[in-house]
Formats: sequence, C-alpha cells, structure tokens
Amino acid sequence: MKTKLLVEDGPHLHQGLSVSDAMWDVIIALVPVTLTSLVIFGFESVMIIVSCVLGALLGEAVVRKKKGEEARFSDGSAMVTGLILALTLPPTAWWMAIPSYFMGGFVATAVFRELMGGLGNNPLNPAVASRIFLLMARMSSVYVAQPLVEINEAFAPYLYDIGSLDAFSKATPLMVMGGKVEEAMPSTLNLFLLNEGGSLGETSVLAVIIGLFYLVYKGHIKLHIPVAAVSTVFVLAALFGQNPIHHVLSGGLIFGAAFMATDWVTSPVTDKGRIIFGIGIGALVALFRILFFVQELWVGVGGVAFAILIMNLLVPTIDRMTARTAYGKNE
Amino acid sequence: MATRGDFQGGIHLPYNKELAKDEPITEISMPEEIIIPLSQHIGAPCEPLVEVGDEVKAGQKIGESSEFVSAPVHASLSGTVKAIEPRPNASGDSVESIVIEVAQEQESISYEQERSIDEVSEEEIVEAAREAGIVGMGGASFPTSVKLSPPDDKPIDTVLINACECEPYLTCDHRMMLEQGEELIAGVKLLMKAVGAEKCYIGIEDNKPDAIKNLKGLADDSRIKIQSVPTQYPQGSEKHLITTVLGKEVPSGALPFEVGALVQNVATAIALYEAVAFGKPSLERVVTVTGQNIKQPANLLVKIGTPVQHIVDECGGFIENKTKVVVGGPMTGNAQSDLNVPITKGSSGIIALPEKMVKGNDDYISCMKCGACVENCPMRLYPNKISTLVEENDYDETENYYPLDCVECGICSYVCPARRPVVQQIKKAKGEIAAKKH
Repeated sequence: MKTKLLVEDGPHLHQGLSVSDAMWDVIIALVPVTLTSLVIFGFESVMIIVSCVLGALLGEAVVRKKKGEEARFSDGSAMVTGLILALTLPPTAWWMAIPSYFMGGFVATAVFRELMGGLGNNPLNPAVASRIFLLMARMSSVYVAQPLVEINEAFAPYLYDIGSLDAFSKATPLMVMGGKVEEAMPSTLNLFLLNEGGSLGETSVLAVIIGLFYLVYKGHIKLHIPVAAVSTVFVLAALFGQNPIHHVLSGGLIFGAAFMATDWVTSPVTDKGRIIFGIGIGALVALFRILFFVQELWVGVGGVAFAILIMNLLVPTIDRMTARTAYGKNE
Repeated sequence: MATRGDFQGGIHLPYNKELAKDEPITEISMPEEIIIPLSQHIGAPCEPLVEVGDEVKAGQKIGESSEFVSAPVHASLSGTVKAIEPRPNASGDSVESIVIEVAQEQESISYEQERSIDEVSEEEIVEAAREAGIVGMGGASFPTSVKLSPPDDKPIDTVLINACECEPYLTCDHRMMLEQGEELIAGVKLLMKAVGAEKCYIGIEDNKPDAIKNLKGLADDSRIKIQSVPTQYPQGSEKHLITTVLGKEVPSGALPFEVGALVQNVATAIALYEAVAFGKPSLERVVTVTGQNIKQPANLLVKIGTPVQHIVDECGGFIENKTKVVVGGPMTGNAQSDLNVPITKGSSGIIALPEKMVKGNDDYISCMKCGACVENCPMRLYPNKISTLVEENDYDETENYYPLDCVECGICSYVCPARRPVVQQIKKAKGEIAAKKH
C-alpha cells in the first residue's frame, strides 16, 4: 500500500466553523420569526420573503458575473440578506408592491454588497441600507414621482411607486405610542409573544430572542451589541418619562439589534467596540423615536435601520478608538 | 496590565492526548541510515568535522561552529559517513547534513556517574551544555548555553520550566515528567545554579494532574515550586508562561532575561542533567508518535537523525494510506511531503492525521471582520489587519500592527471562519520586513 502524503500549511487543526455554516445558522435562527410572520400574515408574508430573496440572489449573481466571479448561492449570504430585508418590511396584499420588494433584494446584494467591495468588505449592512433605500424611494414616490406616475403609468410603478410599502394595514405599536392613531396599546404580553402591528420581523419578540440565543449558542455572535442597544433605549425611554418596556418591545428594535446590528462585517471587532456600537444604536433609536417622533419630523418608520446605518459608518472610528495595546508594548 | 494567573487571549483546543499519554517511553530498532543536519538550532550552522568515508562513533562530535550562538552536532550512532550534502528537513528547507550508514555492531555506550552535580561550577554547567550541543527541545531550538549566559547587567532570579505541553496530541514531556522526574529535578538545580536563580517554578497545565503529583513528591528543594497553570493554548509559549506564573509581560522585542527569567523545557532540563553528570551529548530525544491515522501511538526514545519513515514503520504504519504527517505539534508543526526527513533535537512529535482532517483551505474568502482572531490572539495583535494588508502587498503598513511580535501560535488561522491562512500571511510579513531591513 503506497502512502500518499497530503501537504498543507499549518496549523493542522481548525475549529470547523466556516462563513457559510454561520450564514445557514442565521437562516435557521430566523425560522421562528419567519414562522410567526407566516402565521399572522400568511400569503402576504410569503410573497414578500420570496420576492426579496429572489432579488438578493439575482443581484449577487448579476454583479458577480460582471466582475468575472462565480455566483455563490451556496454560502447562504444572499439568502440571509434577502430574508432579513423581507422581515423588516410591512405586510401588503397589493401585488404591485412585488417589484419593489424584488428590487430591494436586488439592490441590497448588487449595490450595497457586491459593488461596495463584496462580501466582507461592504461598509454598510446590505439589508439595512436597502431598507432605507426602499424608504427613500417611497418618500420620493409621494413627493417627487407623483407627476411621473401620471405621465407613464405603465412604466413608473416599477421605478418609483412602491405602492403600499410602509403603509401599514394595521396601526403599529409605535404609532400608538407616538399618539399617531387613536388605539389601545397592545398588551406587553402580546408585544412579546405575538403581535400583528408592524413588520414581518416584529411579529414576535420571543421568536426573535429564540433565534438570537441560537446564534449565541452556536458561537457566531455575542450578546454585547443587542444588550447594549436595547438597554440604552430602555434607560433613555425611562429618562424621558416614557414606558421603557413598550419602547423595547415595539418596532424593529429587538429584531434589528439581534440580526442586523450583529452582522460581523459591519460591526466592531472587539467587545469594547461592540458595546459602544450598541449604545450608539440605542441612543439614535431613542433620539429618532422620542424627539423626532414628537416633533412630526419623522414617520416613525426606519428609525432602527437609520441608527444601524449611521453606526455602520462609524465602525472604523470605533475600532480605532478602542484599539488595544499589544502584549509587551505597555512599558 | 497582565495579572498573575492568566494571559489575555488563547483558546481551548481538542487535545487528543489520550491517544498516546499512557504509552511508556520505549526504544526502537536502529535505522539503516541517520541524517544529522549541521543546523538544528537557531544561530550559526556547524562546519563538518568529518569527511565522507570516515568511521564515526556514537557520541562523537561531527560538526561545530566557532560562533557564540550555535550548538555542535554529534553522531547518534556509530557508522560510516556516507555523504555530506543538502537534505530536506522537517521545516521544509534543504540543510547541509551528514549522512551516516549505521554499523550493524554498535558498541554499547555506558554512561557512568562522572561527576556529582553538587560540585560543578556555573562555568562547567554552561560548558557542558555547549559541548553536548543542547538546544531548546520544545521546538524553538535555541542553544541552551547561550540562554545560560545572559548579559551581566541582567540578573536572573527565576527559572521557569516549561512543562505545559500545550500543543494537542503531544505527550513526550508528560511521559518524561512521569518517568524521569528525578533527572528533571536534578536538571532544574543545575539550571538554577548556572544562572544564580533563587527560585524555580515548574509550570504544568492542569490537565496533567499525575505529572504534578509525581513532581511534587520528588521536589526535595523548597526553592522549587510545582505550579499548576490553566490548560489554555498557547500556555507553553515562553512569554505567556512568564505572564501566567510571574504576572509580568516580556517587553516587545526583548528576551525573558529582561524580566529576570530563564525558561527551559522539560526535555532540555533532563538533557542538561545528563550532559553535566555523564558527559552525554544531545543524541537522542523522546518523540510522540500519534494521530488518528497511526496504527500504534507511542512515545519513543529516538536517535537524532532517524528518518521519520523508520519511526512510522516501527509504529505499524498508517491506518489509511492517504495521510497528513506533521512533524512537531499540530498547531505549529509542518506537514511533510517526504518521510525521509530526520528527527532533530527540536522534533517533539510525529502526528499522522487522516484525510478527513485535512482542512483543504486553499480556497479562502475575504475577511468577515468577525473579530475571532482579534479576540483570541494571545499577543493582543490585530491579525485580521495584517492578513488583509499582506493580501494587498502593503508590507510597510503591516508594521503598524506589529507582525514581528507574533509568536506564530496559529490561533488566528484556527479560528478564522473564512479559512484565511492568517498565520502564514503574518510569517510572510515578517519575512518581507526582515528583507527590507537588510
């Protein structure tokens, strides 16, 4: 029996985890909240998720092909981006919104990931950035593009009018909290377990937390960012005399803190940095919700996404600020 | 600042020590030829003292250098010099080596107690270490006589015996602590005497309670403490053992004497005792032969220069014929492309790993900035930054992240989910920086 020697560089052991394992684990972690969104919204939820994921897969494939690289469906990253984006969107039954969801997924991977350096080098969380892109598109459709819609009704919807996006069919807890609608605030238990006002990913805080702990258990992420972000909102809400429990449990805060702010690529590399990053997100969310909401500056949608996006841009600064001293460099 | 009892970073590994830890040290049959590299140490290579065709005797000095930082080499078996030529070694380099055809009849060398270790002077200990060609046997292979001669203005108060054996799979130091405890304690006393140290800690990872117990029973000198240390890779890195036991950090670029410490490995201390007491040169060492793909794991007393193939054959060969063979520990050792490489003074193990354990990570992807390498780097470096900069060929910029301080423990590559060859990239940065400075 002839020996065949296998040669490679050391170290000769590896902990076994790969990036694609982590991506698939994120998808597993998103299963509980995806299921609750399906239970509550049914077909609307399916439509949104499928559109976003297909858009994300296509966006990645198209740009990678242009760059002369192979498509990379199997690593799960595009699917993760599409699914997370879908879960930040409100339900809608209007079929005309499908192109915009598809476009959101496409833009997320094509523009905010592949054209901004590719997986690992994108400065912004693609799902978050694309969520804001859709929000902006929605605003422009209202304020800017309306005349165009009239000019070319057949063409314009695909480009500008994204239909009922962000027009929630039901009042969200945040709207209730901000006094935008005259409705009773859902009970804390409802907010925590199952709640139909809000985006797909806001349907159950419990389902989000189950997913979060799965990722922590698997060793992919740590709790620093979510805990820092959520407790900052809690403390600031209490300081401003608002109900901190309602603030923490409503809107996309828990979902964003668990699944969007913990993205490896767009968050700091040290625990210290992660805590600062989380506090920053929490402070911005509180600012948007408490100050802007009251002053009619904002519609109360996308606050978490904006907060994460702004903090994404500050990651290099935070990493520099929190740089540690190497061993033996103390003296 | 470091605190006594721990260092920042480091990880727990699957140790797989049970494969070989209960195998007593045994001797093996003679190989047909031995290959003695003229450089088995850090420092100047030796010049051969023999010619092709010469008869040499076991223990005879066959290579030497007049440089201070060097260590002579000896014939480990009697025989005839067959060739003096470059031969591959386990580090993947080609090194000028003396190849000896081993004689069938070996005179048995009997080492008698030549001198009492209580009567030797400091100078005699250093001289014996030099003559015997003793180098650090934990893998770094730094000449021991040089380590025992620190600058006069740097007094050494503490000897640390590195008995961590923090690399997975390896059990040779563990076996020596169980079977050669008296020799180890005697070697410790010689080390303390040579440098004038007042105390000694024998640092043993707490996954070897039997070794700790055995040495506690044997240490008959109140100045020698058996120090249990946490099992955490790379506890056996010289700097990290110092931090754990003494609570001090060795300044960047400095050697342990800067903090008053001398660190020596278990096998080295035993070799020093044998050199001083019996005049025995460094011509054999204990090698752990292990791994999931070796038929009979063992701890073997092997003559320096024995080809790896011969040792593998002695252990029944491989289970699967497709195998990775690592010489050294699995974290810092090298995979071999040729099993005709010799065991040298610093070779602590031969590890045969089956095909399913091959990482196959030639297809790595961009850094995901997950921070795993940053979190676990025991030198508190930013391996991610160095890795990315090396990819961009920006070696000047890497210097801001101190690649020269890297101890090459391999944790960064071990934890990287993008399977990036981080430690190889840091080694490359070191090479480029060194090349630029010359």
